[in-house]
Amino acid sequence: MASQDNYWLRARARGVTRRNFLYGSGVAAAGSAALLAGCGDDDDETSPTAAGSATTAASGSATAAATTAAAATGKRGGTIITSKAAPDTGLDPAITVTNPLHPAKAYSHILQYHLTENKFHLDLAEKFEQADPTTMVFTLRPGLKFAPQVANGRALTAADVAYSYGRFPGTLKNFGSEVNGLQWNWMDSFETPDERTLKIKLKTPYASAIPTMGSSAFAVVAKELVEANGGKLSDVMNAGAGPYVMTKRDSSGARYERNPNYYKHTPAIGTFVQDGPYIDVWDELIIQDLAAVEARFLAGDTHIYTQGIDKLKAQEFASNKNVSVVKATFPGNSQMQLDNEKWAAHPKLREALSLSIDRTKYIASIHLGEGQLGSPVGPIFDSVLSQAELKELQKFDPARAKQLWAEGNGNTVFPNGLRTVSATFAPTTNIDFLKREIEANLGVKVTVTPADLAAYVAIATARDKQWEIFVASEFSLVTIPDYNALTFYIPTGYGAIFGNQRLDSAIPANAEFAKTALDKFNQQAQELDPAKRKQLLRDMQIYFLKEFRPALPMPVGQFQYAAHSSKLRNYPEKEFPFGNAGSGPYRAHNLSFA
Amino acid sequence: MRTYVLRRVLLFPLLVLAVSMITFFLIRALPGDAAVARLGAAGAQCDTCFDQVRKELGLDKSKPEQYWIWFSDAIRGDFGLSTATRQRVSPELRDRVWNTFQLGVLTIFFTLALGIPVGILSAVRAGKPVDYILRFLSILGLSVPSFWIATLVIFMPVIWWGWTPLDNYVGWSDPLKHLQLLALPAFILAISGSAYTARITRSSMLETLSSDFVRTARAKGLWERVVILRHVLRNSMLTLLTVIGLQFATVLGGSVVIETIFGVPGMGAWLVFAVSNRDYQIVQGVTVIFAMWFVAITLLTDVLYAWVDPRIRY
Repeated sequence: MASQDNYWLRARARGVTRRNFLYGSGVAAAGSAALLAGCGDDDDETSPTAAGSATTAASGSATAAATTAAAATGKRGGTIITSKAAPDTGLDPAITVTNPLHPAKAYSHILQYHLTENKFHLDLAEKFEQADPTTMVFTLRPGLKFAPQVANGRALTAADVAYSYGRFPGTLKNFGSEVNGLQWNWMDSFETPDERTLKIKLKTPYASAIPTMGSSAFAVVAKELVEANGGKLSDVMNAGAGPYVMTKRDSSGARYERNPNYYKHTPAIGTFVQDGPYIDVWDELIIQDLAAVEARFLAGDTHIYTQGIDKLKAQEFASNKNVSVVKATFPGNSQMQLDNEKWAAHPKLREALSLSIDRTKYIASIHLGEGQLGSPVGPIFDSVLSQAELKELQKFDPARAKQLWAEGNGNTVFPNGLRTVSATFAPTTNIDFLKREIEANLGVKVTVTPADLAAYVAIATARDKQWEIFVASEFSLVTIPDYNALTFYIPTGYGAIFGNQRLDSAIPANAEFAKTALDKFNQQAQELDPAKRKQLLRDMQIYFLKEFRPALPMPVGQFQYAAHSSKLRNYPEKEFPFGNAGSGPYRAHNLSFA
Repeated sequence: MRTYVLRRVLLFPLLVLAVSMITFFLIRALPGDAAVARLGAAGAQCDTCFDQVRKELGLDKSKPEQYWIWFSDAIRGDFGLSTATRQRVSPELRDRVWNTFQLGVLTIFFTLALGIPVGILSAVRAGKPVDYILRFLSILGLSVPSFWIATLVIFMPVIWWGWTPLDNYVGWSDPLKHLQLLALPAFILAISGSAYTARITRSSMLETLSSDFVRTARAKGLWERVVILRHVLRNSMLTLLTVIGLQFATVLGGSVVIETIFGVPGMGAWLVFAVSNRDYQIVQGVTVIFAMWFVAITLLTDVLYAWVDPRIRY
């Protein structure tokens, strides 16, 4: 491969003849023609092969049901080129969750969870059984192997899965893992009665166990590589049994090529294909500039547009015949986090703040009319409150807001007004909008401090908050699907990290509320009956919204758009935003070229 | 002259040392350190998470100690490990310096190839329509930011022809493609420089054109081309030399944006990544190289200036 790519080796091999000398001169003379010629399409699709279409179902029961849908057929071969803005800051799936491509390509997971259908497909496992509310039993497929580069391609056993899941407490303690404890601290112990059987004992019943196990972090790794690298895989290119192996990682990007040891999904199920993914190679380019990302995508140099697009951009892209635009229900959320240490003892001020924001205008202005009211549960889940209910709980009443602010001595409690932060790396029109709304309808000065990513995170997470309000938005599902919004409302999640909603708070009103919130959260998390759990989640949302804390949900878009090359087939149109949550384009094995 | 050069050369390490110290402490004064940038908000989920990573990155030591560790490695050519990617900085820095250097050389080539002829033409046609047009274009070149031109250049072909001049950086493994990929960013980076060069060339030439020796040359019956190129331009080059030297140094500033847009893996693009990730080792490494580059170029310019013009004594 390298020798073919290298001009000098090619030149030396062929020597200089009169013919190619003249040819070379011609090329030099026609510089502009050569410039154009160098930019052609370089897809190397091969002839199509039909995928198996048989179906299978997982046994057992869970909150999420196993599905029997077959993979759509596609053409085998080709290279998908995608892009990202910066090099990897780590490759360990149990530490770094911000890169969805690597764990999806270089690692395998026990199952794949499809949020929009609330269904899962078994991946490394061929059978699942919920033996009792606190015991999950998985039976692995026979003949599983790690990639040839990993532990000499040895067999992958239940002990490897148990080891991988058992790493989380250590990676958090020793390496400051990004994987939130919400994802794994429900697991108590593991048993591996034989090489193919994994028994997971839970501390308590946990309704989100299956969705959680589909997430990127639950990748299965080879123990010997972890141990050989000081307990982490941050710089290890391959340590798993995924459909691909990482063959390049440098400042220009990364490359993934087929893993010859990859197991069969027999019969094909969901987005899995019987003989491994259709695509041969994934190339991930590093393109820092957003305009360059768009230009290269529109020119057909990349196949997946990795930036989020709004309605206007979607319309613009849709007019390009080389581009397909997909639209799915918006999965993310946006929260105005309050510093609960400051606001806990002032219910009138919290209510005043909420009443001062015209959310209808917010939707018209920020979401171009295509938005919806937010809630402590993300808009994609069926337990979310209806828009009518949310409207009742998120009223706009500037007169009442001013009255409550005066009654609560707002100007005494916050003598310098309210402080917040805007991100220099993301659109901040919502911050500008909220500043105007609060200043106009509450009569309080809002000071906005711009910050780059590292400063933004530092300011957001510092225990001594230099702000009173902080708007955090998430546009995809990066942690547990169930709790993508709810994590902002509990003291074991971002409620504490951002909002100082702490069980150990010196302010009784904050500590008591944190305890109540956690109790309510745990109650629904342990409820395995979907109907009962839904009701608990609804009650919980109403409780938070009536308390106007620990955060105020902000409106979100109704839809999320994405764009991909029209050459691609089987792009997961409903689940494209779920990169880290178990499904999405990087996990779809049936993605192929037309 | 020799004493002057010696003094400047001796000052060189002191200057670089000062730059490295200032950079070291300034980047650390920004809110959010490398641990925060690496872990993100999730790092706050445990009390020790940030501390663990700080320890791993050596950020738990005092700042003077951190500086000393960095400095003692740096003078041996080891700029340490990137705090964001945990890759060695030095090998990549070497590659990136080379890429930026190539971009710089090509930029200067375009700057001179465009700026000097335009300046000459503008001077010899002073007050005529050609002069007005060229001066207008020069002002335009100075006024329009290069990142805006770059964005147009990468975008407009996509809109018109579904094609963009951007491509994967290949280096000298494919020389034709390599030059093709570097030429456009270099040309765009050269626009403002050439506009400035054109204006300086014009004013310098106009001043020289009114000199007695030019009148004498013309009176001798020399061809106008010989008068302009051999007598006027050569004497005007003194001013130009300083400008060119400074422009080679300021190419570094422009490269930050242009490299990012065109995907040239140079020092500028790296610096953007490093600052936002609080990657101290990269920021320090790149800044030191930038400083050395700048100091070397200005020294070279000063020496050349004295060499070209015997009247100049240091």
